[in-house]
Amino acid sequence: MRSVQVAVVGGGPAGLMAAIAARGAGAEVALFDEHPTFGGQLRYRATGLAGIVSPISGRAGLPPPALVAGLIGVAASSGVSLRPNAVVWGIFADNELGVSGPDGGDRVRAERVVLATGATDRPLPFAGGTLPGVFSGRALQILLNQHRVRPGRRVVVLGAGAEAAEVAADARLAGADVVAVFDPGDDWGAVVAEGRDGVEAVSLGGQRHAADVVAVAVGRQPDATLALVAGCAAGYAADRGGLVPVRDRRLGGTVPGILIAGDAAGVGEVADAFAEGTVAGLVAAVDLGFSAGDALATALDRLHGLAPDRLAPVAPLGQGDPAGATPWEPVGAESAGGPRAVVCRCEAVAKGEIVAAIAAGARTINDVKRRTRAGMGTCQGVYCVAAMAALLGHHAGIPPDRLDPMTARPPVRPIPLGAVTDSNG
Amino acid sequence: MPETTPAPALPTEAAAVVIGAGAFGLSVGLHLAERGVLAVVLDRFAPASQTSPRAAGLFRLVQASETKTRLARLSAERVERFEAQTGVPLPHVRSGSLLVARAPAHAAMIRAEAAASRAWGVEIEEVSPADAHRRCPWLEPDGLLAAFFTPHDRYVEEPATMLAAYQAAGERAGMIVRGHTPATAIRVESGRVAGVETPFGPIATETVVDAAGAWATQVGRLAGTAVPIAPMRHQLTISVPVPGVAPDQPIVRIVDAAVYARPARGGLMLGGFEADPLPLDPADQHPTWTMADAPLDLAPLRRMGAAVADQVPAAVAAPIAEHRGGLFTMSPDGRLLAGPVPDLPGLWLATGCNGSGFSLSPGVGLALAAWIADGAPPFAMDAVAPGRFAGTPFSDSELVTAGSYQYSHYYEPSEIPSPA
Repeated sequence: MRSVQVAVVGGGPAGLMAAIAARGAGAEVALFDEHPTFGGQLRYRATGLAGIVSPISGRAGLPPPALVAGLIGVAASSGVSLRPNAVVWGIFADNELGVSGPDGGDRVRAERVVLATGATDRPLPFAGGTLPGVFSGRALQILLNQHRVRPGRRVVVLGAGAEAAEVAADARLAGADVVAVFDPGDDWGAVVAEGRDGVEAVSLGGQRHAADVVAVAVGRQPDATLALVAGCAAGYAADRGGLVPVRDRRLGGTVPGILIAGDAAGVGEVADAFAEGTVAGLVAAVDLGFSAGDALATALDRLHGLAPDRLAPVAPLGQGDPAGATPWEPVGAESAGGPRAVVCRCEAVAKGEIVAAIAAGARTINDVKRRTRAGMGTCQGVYCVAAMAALLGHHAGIPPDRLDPMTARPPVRPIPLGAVTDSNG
Repeated sequence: MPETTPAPALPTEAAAVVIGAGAFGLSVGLHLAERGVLAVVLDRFAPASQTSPRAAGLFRLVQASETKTRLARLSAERVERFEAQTGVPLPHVRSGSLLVARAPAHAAMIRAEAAASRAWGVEIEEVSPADAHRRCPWLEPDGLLAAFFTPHDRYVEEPATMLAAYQAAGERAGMIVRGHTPATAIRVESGRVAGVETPFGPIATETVVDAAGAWATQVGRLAGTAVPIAPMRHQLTISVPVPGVAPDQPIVRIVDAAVYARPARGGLMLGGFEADPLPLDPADQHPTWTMADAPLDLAPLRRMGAAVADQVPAAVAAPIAEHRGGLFTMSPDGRLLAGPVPDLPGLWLATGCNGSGFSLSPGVGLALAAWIADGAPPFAMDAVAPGRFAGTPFSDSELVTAGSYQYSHYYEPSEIPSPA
């Protein structure tokens, strides 16, 4: 088994800065990313990154590729071990990471682990939501900005606020016509997409638009699955995207040696991710006995000044004020696409089956999963658990704070069997 | 029919093959030869015929990072002693240079740069606008907020002379240069470089240096290696002779306008870094395309000239005698790509000039040759080694976006300080 002093999982803005900060303080650092390259959201957002300030030079307005290249360059040339195409699929006792990479499986023992695994798009089940042409907002941005593919010309964006506006702006930048930006709120029934082999028209609150692309930008949810796998406690914070790991003021999770930074701990801005990554990297190094001078105090001050809400304590699930966590009420859920509307795409579980399971007594995500297979597929619940939670809230009145998350267990991503059997364990 | 002599046979093996006979390639070849590593330097066109001879020829000791400052100082020292060390003359003018700013933000920036450079051992002094004008009569003092004089900066009047000096000194030491000899394949055996194929036969070698300038990505592709650069056009003009201009007057760099000027052929050279440079990759052109086919456009130079017309009126107003341009190889972080390719032992890069290739070429050649011959760099080169991008590919559009930015911010401090 290999070992490293600090393992950083996820090479987006938080992970890159965590790796740079920990390495800068003298720790031996490995940075893992499941993608072929580093940068995360910095690689696929366009208009939303205008005016971004470099965490290294403090300069504003760098184009994201130059910013990413600079961060990778500093990380690599300062001696961070960069591990692209490396999926960290589990965390075991004593912070041992299961890694599946291009060269097969590996076990890496880390004295400190910084989880910077980012966020995913929140799902919205609606009639026609499985037609080709329906994308999550970030998926559309990846197609447009990273791969330079425009999947259609007439785009409907679902959602509200800055996020939907950004997806719409990126679509326009790519030469698409944004025919509508529509906020369905919690009303799953307000959206109906139709078409034969793909989206041809979309009805929004009864008004019909010709469109061939639908982008679902109704919010993002933290992806802290690895923290849960490691045994960290989680709580519910609606303003941070839902289920978030419980952290102390220095970004440590409830399991010793594990830190969580960036969107994985609650969706926020890129600047928050840079600031949290820096703090997490410095904390990891300082805890191992390295000296960071006054850099850690400065970074903590900066973070607490920048985003105090992100650091407000979160009660572990079931221990908070239930009044503060009202269920997501999916009005129109009955009508949206009818009972055959698909909620779990991987296992093709329809909404009707989930509602029936709840009627038959299912009261937790795991109950629903056991009865219907929803959440058992390849995505491991990423695209269905939020909808299942909403249905449990709507039909059984369970507030999200009282809803245990789906059991998180490795592998958190599909991996080849050889990655487990060949591990240098 | 004119009598032709057959081209001399290409060696069938070599200690190293350098692809590209521009400033980087010839300097690497020369410095390898000086260490007893006899390299064959190939070029698909005539040696020293593409971007390098079209350079401005300016040497600059004030650089944004410690590694680059070190390379710049090595380069200046090498040029200074070149004739004494090799017996081949390398004419250059130790003119010094003036770095000037006309806006408060830029004044603060060059003060910080000067302080950093001093800490890295560069001699530099702040001078008054009047003093700047005294040193350089064609620089108007009105409007200058800060001016710094670097006495040891220099220029090479005709860049081709330095390339010829590299070649002459290298050939004396055993280097072989072959023009019109493209590398058509890079042979890889057992995971490491084994040779180079050319239309005139193969050369067996365990060391290949990709110094192919704007063609460096194509050469890298021969070995399956992605070279993260985007070529960008850079242009300059040289005026007809201007009364009062003397060769030993300093180079002037006006940072807010990203414009430089120097004495040239009795007139004044004027060039600069426009905000919207033209990306131009020879890979997208016909294979016979050469730098002579690069489209030249005076409009960006006229716009930059207008921005400095009050400061260097003579350089802007004098009739143009020559207009030339070449392709800078811009890397996404604005730093050189000099060192071994991590995934393919035996393959080295000497590219990513980012607009300083000609003047850094003595130091880059020296350092790379030492690294190749000794197995270790003479000083920490991590900040410029290609390994920093290992396994993290960039798309063409990312390279162009980042390269354009680095180009247009040439005079502003690098995004990335050299790691401590």
